[in-house]
Amino acid sequence: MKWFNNLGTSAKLLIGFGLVVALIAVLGITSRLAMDSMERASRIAVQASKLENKLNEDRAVVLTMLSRSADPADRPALMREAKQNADEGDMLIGGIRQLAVEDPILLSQLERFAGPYRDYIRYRNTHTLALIEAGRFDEARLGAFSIQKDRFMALRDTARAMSAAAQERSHREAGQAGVVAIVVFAVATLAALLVGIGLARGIARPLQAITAKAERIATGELPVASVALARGDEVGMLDNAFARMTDNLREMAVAAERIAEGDLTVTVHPQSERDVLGKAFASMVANLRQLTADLHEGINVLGASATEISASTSQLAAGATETAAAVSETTTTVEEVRQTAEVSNQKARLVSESAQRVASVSESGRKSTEEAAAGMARIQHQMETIAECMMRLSEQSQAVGQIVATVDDLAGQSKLLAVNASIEAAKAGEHGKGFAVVAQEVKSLAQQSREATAQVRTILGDIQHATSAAVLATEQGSHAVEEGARQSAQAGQSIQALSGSVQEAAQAAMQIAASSQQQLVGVDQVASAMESIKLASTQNVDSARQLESAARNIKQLGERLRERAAGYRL
Amino acid sequence: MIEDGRGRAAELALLGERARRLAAPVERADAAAALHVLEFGVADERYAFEAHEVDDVQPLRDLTPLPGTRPFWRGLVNVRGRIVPVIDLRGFLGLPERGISDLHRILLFRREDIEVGLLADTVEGVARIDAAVLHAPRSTFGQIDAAYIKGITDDRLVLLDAEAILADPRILLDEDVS
Repeated sequence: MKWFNNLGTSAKLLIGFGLVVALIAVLGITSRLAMDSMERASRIAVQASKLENKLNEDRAVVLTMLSRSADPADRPALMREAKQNADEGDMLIGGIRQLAVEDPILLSQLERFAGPYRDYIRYRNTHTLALIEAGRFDEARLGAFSIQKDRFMALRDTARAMSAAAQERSHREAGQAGVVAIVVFAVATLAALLVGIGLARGIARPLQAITAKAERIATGELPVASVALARGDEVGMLDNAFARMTDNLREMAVAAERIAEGDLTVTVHPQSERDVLGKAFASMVANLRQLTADLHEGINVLGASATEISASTSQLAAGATETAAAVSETTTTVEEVRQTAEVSNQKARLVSESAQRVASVSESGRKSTEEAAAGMARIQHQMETIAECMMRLSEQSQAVGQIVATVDDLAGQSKLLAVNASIEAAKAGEHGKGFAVVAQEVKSLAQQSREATAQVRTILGDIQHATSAAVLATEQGSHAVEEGARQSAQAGQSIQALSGSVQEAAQAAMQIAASSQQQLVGVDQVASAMESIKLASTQNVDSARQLESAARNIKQLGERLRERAAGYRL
Repeated sequence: MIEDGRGRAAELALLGERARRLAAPVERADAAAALHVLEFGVADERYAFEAHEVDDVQPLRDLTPLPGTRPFWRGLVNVRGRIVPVIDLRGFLGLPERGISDLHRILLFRREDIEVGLLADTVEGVARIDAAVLHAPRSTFGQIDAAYIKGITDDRLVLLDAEAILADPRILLDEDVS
């Protein structure tokens, strides 16, 4: 069996199946030969039967021609038939001879038939048929019924015996062939059974063992004791390959265990260029090493960042608290602004109303300036009249002044006269006393006259001054009135322009009122928005606190990660 | 009615006031000591002559300047057909020519041989003064020669001596024109 085991599986299969196929071929060939022999025998039997029939037919033809009742007209046809029968008989004999060339018994029987047959045919042709032609039926009959009849009977028996011998031979051949077939079939079956058992022993069982091993490997087990089968065929090679695979896997497992324990110093060498797992393991270790280095770095960064984030979130929480306070103040301020906007809205409405009133007032002012212009014209006219009156008054007061001067002169002369009278009275002494009194009275009157004229002059002077001033004032007034008329015209224009401006101002004030209304609405919205912001800010504060605790957790996580990462040796 | 009542009361008050004034005792000056003086004004100063020394008072009209004479000779006037020389007292008495002067009165002095007019701004009239209240002029009184002054009253009325003025040789117009 050793050599068989060392053969390749394909060789084993070829040997086994070739043996079975060869046996089947032997069986086929044997059967074929037997069948050929049987067929030849049966054909000989058939030819022999046909030969007998021909013999009978030929006898019948000859007899027909020999009969007295035979129509001479049919003779040529019958003669041809007889000749044909003779040819066919020769042909059958030739066929049988060919078929029975291997069978000496049959050949000898055929030779025993062929000689008499030739004699029979020759006699018939030379005697019987020739006599018939010649019309000597009686002679023909004599030969035919004696010699020819005996020959015919013998030939017939020989043909029968030959047919029977051929049939018998056929039967015998058939029996031999069946026996041979049974034997060969049995041998082939046995050989096939043996080959099957051998293949099963040599291939299937080791394959089952290896399959069981593969099943264990598939379930993750790595069988330690793997004794290699000492075989050179594919099964042995498969077993060797399985063993190597198991070793490699174990090596990988050991390496993986070390990696799992954190030892990344392990080095994995790929078994070959196409070692996918080994290369993957090697690159995995390298990647893990790189990853762990990166992780170290990252964890350091994370730790530092977490510390900074923690600090930042603390500041953020403080800032959020301040923001909340500021937002609260802002909300209050916005509320104040809203109230202010309300007040300004009311004011704007008031301004709008007063602007409309101002517009109507400016309209009436425009009318008033027109009336003022008309009044100015009247005043100018009257001023001219006044100026004329003043001129007349001035002239009349001049005349009064002359009269007063005359009166004053008279009073002065009277006074002098009184003084002179007093002097005379003084010179007269005691006698002039009464005269002195009279003179004194006269002087007093003159003095009074002078005083009166002085008063009159003063009054006149005042009147003249006043008149001059009045004339001047009238002139100035006239100018002023002209100026006033011009200015009132200008004022009219200005007030008209002002009226337009005031109209625009009124519209602007209305727009301002509308805008202020919108502003109020907007400020209301801002106030509500600020309320929302306030709420959001409060939530912000809570979030910042949560963020702060989260950052603290992150910081602790970073420290734990650093401790964990320190367990990996690079 | 109220108006009438008020007017009536004011009238009664005025009448009462007058009655009280009239009821005051009159101061009787000594007749011997009383002097009648003609009071006049020159350049805001009050002067006087005794009334009997003055002959006449006339308004100044048609003054004709008199060339070739002393500055206080102002010129000549026609008084009732007589040619009278006119003297400016300020120049004559050596008063400084200060203040504004009207000079439209002439006091006429007529003596046996001469007739002279003195210019005055105003003539107040004849008044009576008590000779006892006259003070002698102090030697330092202004720049007027004390020889021309008879006395000075308490209210700074300067009583001039007409005879002294008229006796002054400067008053004579005997200058040679050539």
